[in-house]
Amino acid sequence: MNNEMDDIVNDFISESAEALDSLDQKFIELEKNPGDTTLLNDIFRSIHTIKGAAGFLGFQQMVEATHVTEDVLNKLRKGEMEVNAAIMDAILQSVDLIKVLLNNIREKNGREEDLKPVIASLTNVLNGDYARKEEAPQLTVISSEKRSGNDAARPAQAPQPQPQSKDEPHKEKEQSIRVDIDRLDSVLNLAGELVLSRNRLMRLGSKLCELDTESELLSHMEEGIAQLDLVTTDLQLAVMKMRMQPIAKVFNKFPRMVRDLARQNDKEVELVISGEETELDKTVIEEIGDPLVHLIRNAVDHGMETPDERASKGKPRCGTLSLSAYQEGRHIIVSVADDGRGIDAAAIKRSALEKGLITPEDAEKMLNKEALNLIFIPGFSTARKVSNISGRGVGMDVVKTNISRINGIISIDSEVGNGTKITFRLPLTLAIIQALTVEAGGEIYGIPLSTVIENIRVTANDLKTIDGKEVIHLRDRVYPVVRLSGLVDGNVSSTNSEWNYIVLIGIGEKSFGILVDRLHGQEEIVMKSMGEYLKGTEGMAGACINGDGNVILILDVAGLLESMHRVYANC
Amino acid sequence: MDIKKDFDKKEVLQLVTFRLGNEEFSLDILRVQEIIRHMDLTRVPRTPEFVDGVINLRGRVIPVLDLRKRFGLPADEKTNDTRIIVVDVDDRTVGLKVDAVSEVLRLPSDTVEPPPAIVTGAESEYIKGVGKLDGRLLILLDVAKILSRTERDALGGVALNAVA
Repeated sequence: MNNEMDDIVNDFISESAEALDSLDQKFIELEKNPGDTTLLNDIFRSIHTIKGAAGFLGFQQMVEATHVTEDVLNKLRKGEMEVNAAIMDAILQSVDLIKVLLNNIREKNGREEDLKPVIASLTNVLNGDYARKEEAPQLTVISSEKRSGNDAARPAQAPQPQPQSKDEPHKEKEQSIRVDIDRLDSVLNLAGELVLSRNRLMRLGSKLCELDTESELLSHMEEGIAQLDLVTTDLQLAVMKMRMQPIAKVFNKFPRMVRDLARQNDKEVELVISGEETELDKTVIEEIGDPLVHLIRNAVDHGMETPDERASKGKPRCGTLSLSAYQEGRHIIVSVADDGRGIDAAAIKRSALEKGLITPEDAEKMLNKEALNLIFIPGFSTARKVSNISGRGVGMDVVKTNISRINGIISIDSEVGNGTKITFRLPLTLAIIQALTVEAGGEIYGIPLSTVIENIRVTANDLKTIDGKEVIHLRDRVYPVVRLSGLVDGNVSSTNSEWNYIVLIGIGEKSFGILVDRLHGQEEIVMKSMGEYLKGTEGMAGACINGDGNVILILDVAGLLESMHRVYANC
Repeated sequence: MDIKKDFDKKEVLQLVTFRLGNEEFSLDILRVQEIIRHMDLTRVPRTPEFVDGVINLRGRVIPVLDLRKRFGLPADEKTNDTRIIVVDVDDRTVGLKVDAVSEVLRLPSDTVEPPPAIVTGAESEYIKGVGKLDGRLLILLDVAKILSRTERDALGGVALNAVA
């Protein structure tokens, strides 16, 4: 009985959370098209459903909060009130409160929230008091409109209700079921096992063929293996697709965020989203949320100028922030671009010098592009004052850490006066990855191919040392080099052959080289954990089993880079 | 299994016994998943010395610990008798490399005594008790203790300090 109840509550939580997520999006749309009754009805229904379920399950606070919100929406729906920014603020506040309540239910913490302020402001709206209470902001809205004459976010200036949204195909039922993520993972694991067995069979098959080419049985077997090969590849793809989610899941929360930020800062920002249907692995989706939040905050807070400043520079008063995603081969490219003031590389260098993060000689040699990367150093901030939005210098560190963790590469392009564009290059999925297999010190290692920029053949003479650290000079850039064979203790670096190879790695915003003895090839691998006991071993992301049944270790390039820095710091 | 419980009841313990050098050790049979022959290992960098490497156990990657190194005994060449005892403790599957596996035997729990206080050193902590059987002395190992991560990290010392 108890279990059944839990199930019902869990369903309620996940459905309500979904509904609330999509509500944010709808409210922003509504603010642009205040007269859109289809949209209003849609919103009303969502809130009503939540209220109904909450009432049935006995979540009293939830009922109270949703009830007042519903009343306001009802009035709007019937045309008894007009949507305006003040009403929207009140409603959005209540939606936030509902989210908090939902979270309390999820965590079963039994906490009670103070509903009074939100309910009071909603009741005010209901009684038509909002005009008086919100007089001050209303006035500034009008005056700023007089000045600007172009403000898409404000209702009075917003485009007239667009009837087009009425025939949106919102009605179709979704054909989907909820599946526990653990079950999906176990299917993925099994598919991975199958891939391994297939590889093994294929290897054995080709060996048999070498021995005896005549037998008819053999050709049948070859056919069978080819068929298996085909099916496994398809299965693998299908399973991977099951874990894929559209990036819209992350993007959807940004219109609301940008709106709030812009309002707080008295800036005018239009968010343009493209490619939200691009699909990414669930794990990747989870990791990129926070970095994007930081980048967008930075863009609105630091990047964008105030409307007046923009006008004086001859730019449109309303800034454009674009968020885009698209697939490029085995990667997904996600970028955040603004047309704000851009990052001044010289100022960054100066600030880094003041903070003692670089030496004057460093600053001298540093290219502008490299200087931009300084912003990823923890504690670095050029903002003169710390606002509640940004300026503490933590954000970019989060960006770097998260993106590195999923083997992504970050690049910054910025032009003073014209804006900044930050691009992530992310792997499609993390479970089944393409790896470059290399040999070093008698062991074989896998390097995630998504981080490999290029491979170079070198002799011992090509390696130079700076302060006792090995580096390689390549096309006017100097890259630090780490010896893979040196990782395993007691291994004499066995460089009998004249030639060695350097695998050039790009991770986060940094690049470095890994010196290996030999390159083996490219292999599709299924990442496995090394078990609880060895989890977290530095520099190793996990292991995989190759076609022969041997275990190959997969390098954690982000961790490797970190340990390299530590070694340098100790020198 | 709780020591107290082992001693209180007059139950019979089933133990897997194995050899390390000249000493005989034993493990609770319920902890043992299987015993396999020694196979080729993949070494893992930056782990404590007693972690021999990882192996592929029917599609699972599991670490193998060299019990000789773990207990500070001199290393020995692997022989035809060398075995890996795969144990399963708290969802953790780990292989233990031993010189040879001897037998499975039953031991009344009242013949097991707590480890003598005089024995000290790293080894003593993992001893649950000492069993006597026909004049032989059997050392009962506490597997969970050997496998705990905090133990591992503490022993890993130099190599793992870097991680923290």
